[in-house]
Amino acid sequence: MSEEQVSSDIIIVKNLIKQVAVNNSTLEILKSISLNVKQGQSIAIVGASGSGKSTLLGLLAGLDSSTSGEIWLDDAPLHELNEEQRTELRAKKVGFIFQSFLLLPALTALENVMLPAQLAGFENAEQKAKELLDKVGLSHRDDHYPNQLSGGEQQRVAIARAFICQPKILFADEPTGNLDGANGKRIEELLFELNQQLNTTLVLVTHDPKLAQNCQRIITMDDGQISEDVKEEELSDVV
Amino acid sequence: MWFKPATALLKQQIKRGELTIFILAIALAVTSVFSLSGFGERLNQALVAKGSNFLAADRVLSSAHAIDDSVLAKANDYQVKAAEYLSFNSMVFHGDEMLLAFTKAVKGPYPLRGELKISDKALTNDPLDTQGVVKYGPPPQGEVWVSPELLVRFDAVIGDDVEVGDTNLKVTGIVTQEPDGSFSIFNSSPTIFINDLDVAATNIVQPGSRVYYNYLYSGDDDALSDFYQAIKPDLKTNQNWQDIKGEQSPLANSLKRANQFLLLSSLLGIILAATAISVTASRFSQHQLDTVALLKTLGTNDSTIRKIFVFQLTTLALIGMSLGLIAGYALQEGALGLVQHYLPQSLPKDLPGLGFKPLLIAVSTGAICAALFSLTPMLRLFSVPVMRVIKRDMASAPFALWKNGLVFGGAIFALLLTYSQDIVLSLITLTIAAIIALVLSAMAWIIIRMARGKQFSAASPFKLAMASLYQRANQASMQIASIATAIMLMLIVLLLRNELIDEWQNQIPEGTANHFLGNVTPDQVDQIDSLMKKYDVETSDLYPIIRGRVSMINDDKVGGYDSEGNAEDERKRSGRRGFGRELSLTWRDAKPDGNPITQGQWWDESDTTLQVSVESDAAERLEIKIGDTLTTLVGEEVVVATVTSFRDVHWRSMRPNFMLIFNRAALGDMPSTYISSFYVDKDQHPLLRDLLRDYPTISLIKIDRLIKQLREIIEQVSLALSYIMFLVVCAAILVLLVQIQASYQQRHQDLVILRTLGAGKKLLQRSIAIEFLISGALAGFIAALTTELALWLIQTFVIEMTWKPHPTLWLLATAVGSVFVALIGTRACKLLTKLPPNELIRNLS
Repeated sequence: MSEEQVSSDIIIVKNLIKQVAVNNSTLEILKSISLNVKQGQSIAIVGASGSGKSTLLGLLAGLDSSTSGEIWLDDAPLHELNEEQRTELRAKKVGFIFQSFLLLPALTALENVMLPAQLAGFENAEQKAKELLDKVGLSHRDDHYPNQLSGGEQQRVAIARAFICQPKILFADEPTGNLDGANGKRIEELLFELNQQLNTTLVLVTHDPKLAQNCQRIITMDDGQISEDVKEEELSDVV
Repeated sequence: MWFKPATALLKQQIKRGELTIFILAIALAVTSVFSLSGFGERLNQALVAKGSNFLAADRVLSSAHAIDDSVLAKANDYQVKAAEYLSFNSMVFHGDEMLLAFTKAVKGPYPLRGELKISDKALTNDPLDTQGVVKYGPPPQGEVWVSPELLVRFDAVIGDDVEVGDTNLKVTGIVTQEPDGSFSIFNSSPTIFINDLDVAATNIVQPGSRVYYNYLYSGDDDALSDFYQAIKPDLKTNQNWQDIKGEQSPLANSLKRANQFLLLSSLLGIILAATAISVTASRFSQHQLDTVALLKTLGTNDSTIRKIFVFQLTTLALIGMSLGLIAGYALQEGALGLVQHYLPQSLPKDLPGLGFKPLLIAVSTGAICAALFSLTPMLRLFSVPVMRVIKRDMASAPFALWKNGLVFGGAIFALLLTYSQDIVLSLITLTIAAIIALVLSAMAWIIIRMARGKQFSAASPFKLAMASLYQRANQASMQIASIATAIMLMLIVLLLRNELIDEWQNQIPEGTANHFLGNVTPDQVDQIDSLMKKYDVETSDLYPIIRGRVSMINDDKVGGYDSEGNAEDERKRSGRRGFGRELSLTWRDAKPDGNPITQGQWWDESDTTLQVSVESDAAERLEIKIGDTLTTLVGEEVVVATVTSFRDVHWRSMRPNFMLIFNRAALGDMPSTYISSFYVDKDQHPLLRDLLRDYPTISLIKIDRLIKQLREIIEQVSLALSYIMFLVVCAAILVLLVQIQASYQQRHQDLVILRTLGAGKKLLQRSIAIEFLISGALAGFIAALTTELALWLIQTFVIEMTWKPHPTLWLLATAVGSVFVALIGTRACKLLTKLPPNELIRNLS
């Protein structure tokens, strides 16, 4: 790996293949994907259902292991790490936002936000969590449980949770998919605002073209392959 | 129209494995009820059969007059096996010697139960019942079988002739074992067996002779009671129908308790099963909410939806019941097979067949459980709003708690009542269940709410564990309550089992006297004492026996039928009426062992005032107080003694026991004979021969067979209880697993989130372990509380034993609860903590 790559590319993917066994035959979900993502870049992965975008996101985030190929995440060889090592890496460097929010129902909003920081052993978790809840406009509801919050509010808590460890990379899977227009818009704004403020790399999977347009780069997936890769300069032309 | 979609839905659900738990819960209910009731029923039958040995039959009809043949012939109609013997006392002569013997003139295949053993050779020094061969029916005409005492006293041998009444009979056998031999100390003539056909030749039985007709019956319980009902109208009041259960013997009491205990354990098994069914039924209905909402959206009407789900439920219940019956049968046979090795040989070789009753109970339990415990979840399911297809969080209004409670409680009560046919027992069991369900769920809920552990980091395992409990506060409190029930059941079974066994064994500890010696004259006392010493046999003290009758308590006559006087006097008199009969009295200087004084004081040896000590129950019944005077008639003498103490007497202990014990001043000068009890082991048996030969007038009564049989029964009951405890523990584990399964989905999701956010395996494992430790400890603590309450209720009202607190129970229950739940819980969730987070991807998509 060259020095240049180390300094600028936070994600490097080489010949990534993912196969699964279905009914005695092998299904290739990802067909030799190669991809580099720069530090601080925001990137949208779009494509039809079943095109492999969520699988790619899972592999990039270290949630799953590939059949072959390499993934380097902030210089760490993800493809060589075992489950526990990947978990440790996620705790330190990765944030998540899910379509269905996935807050722990037993914890309050504040506790949900604090959780990743505490898992990573950070100090001042509570103070940081309060600041973040304030940023997403929910400081007055920090002692509420997820079931006492609306969908939009839950996703704002999830965003606060995603940023608390100041992750180098934030993965978002259809972050506005379960929300109405106004709430979706609010989440979108928050996501990009915090992303810029904290210089995080953002990788999101979406069906929403507007959300995708806000990213510096759009990768379109089709049948397990990247069919189109449009970068910022080209995007401005498209827009 | 509804059938096709119903089967399609069912197939799909079975394929997805969602219904496995429901099927398993029904199977569990049926398995535990079937095996518990099946095993209990069969063991109980075996025990009763064994107890019947003491009667030599299942039922005995005894009468002072011959019963008409037409009445007796009905036995044939009811497939009841019959035998009979005529019993009377008669003098038996051997040369110049004579002896009063208890004669049994046998007709038919006597004994119907137990074994009659006859030896046709001279006896050796081996224990009696190991000698001789088993015989059925009477000796051949012209022959007599005699008890060993008779031979010893006559100094006769096999082949000698003896005279019974007007006829000569040849001694051809020695009775070495007699199933229904007398145990009464005061009626101890040696027994002889003759053929019924020889009775006429003896000329003993004349009009007015004191003879007893004993009609023996054996057969199926139902057939016997049908037969009894058929002959009942022809029976007179002095004709007595007895069975082993009705007999007031230690054996009958032990059997009764064992029976109640087996029944109670089965009832507890039902409650456990019901808990499992109820949890899975509501989980099943929760899972079907979307399907029902969708069906409604697609225009399916309510009646079709009902049909679809009733069909599904019925099919599932049938599958579960079939599995349960197979498993229950296998388990029961297996357990019986295992246990059979340890059963004493005298247990009937063929255990009674598995009756129809356990099968019926098991099937109806399965059906009632499936129907009633699914009722409220199903009703909730049917009323799900159609809007749920759009707003997924919409569900039908939950049932009011009291309605749920009513249905659940009603269903359990119906089951209990059907099974036990005992309202008191059912009510007590239900009350315990209700108390646990209501108060203790609330308790668990409050504790969980209070102990959220705010001071802990959200990433500490304790905080996560508490949060997990808190998140499921409602389910968790129910879960804790049901685990508490399981632990409580285990504890009750364990404690009751130990206490029952302790109580039984205390009655007949090792070295309990196995012989009684009676009719010893004062001048024989010293000689017999030295004979005993020669053989190194320890005896209870020799007690003088004086026959006497209490005639007055203070100034009140007893035993009379005088109805003059006020109502209070009459009431007392009627209570005291039976007291006027002749009693065996004794006198002593020192208080006998095992007779604790409950009131008053034992006398000083040198005290010359006339005093008497009264057995405490008799004192209460007869309304005697300390300081009252008892006037006792001994022959012509009148003894007026003051009551100075009450004593507790263990009537079942194999010792001479007395209702009234006087001091030396009162009865010391009266003519008396002596009795004593002693224990002889195998090596000391020659003593018995010496006693019989050298002291022809004394009576010697062997009770070692009674003790042996009691011990065997205790062993069998202990085995049964251990088996039941094993089943209850299995049921408890399954209930716990069902509960964990019910929370599996939520746990799965939580763990996936935590894993994704970077929580390590160890943290998750610790948090799960802590969660189960806490809920187990909580359940154990609650179980201890309810166990004490339940034991008090059961011991006080159901099986009439003395309740005492169990301080170690609290510690034990909490420890057992936490370890038990943590072990099973962590084991069941082990897979979850190992799941890779890629499961999240599946969830998300």
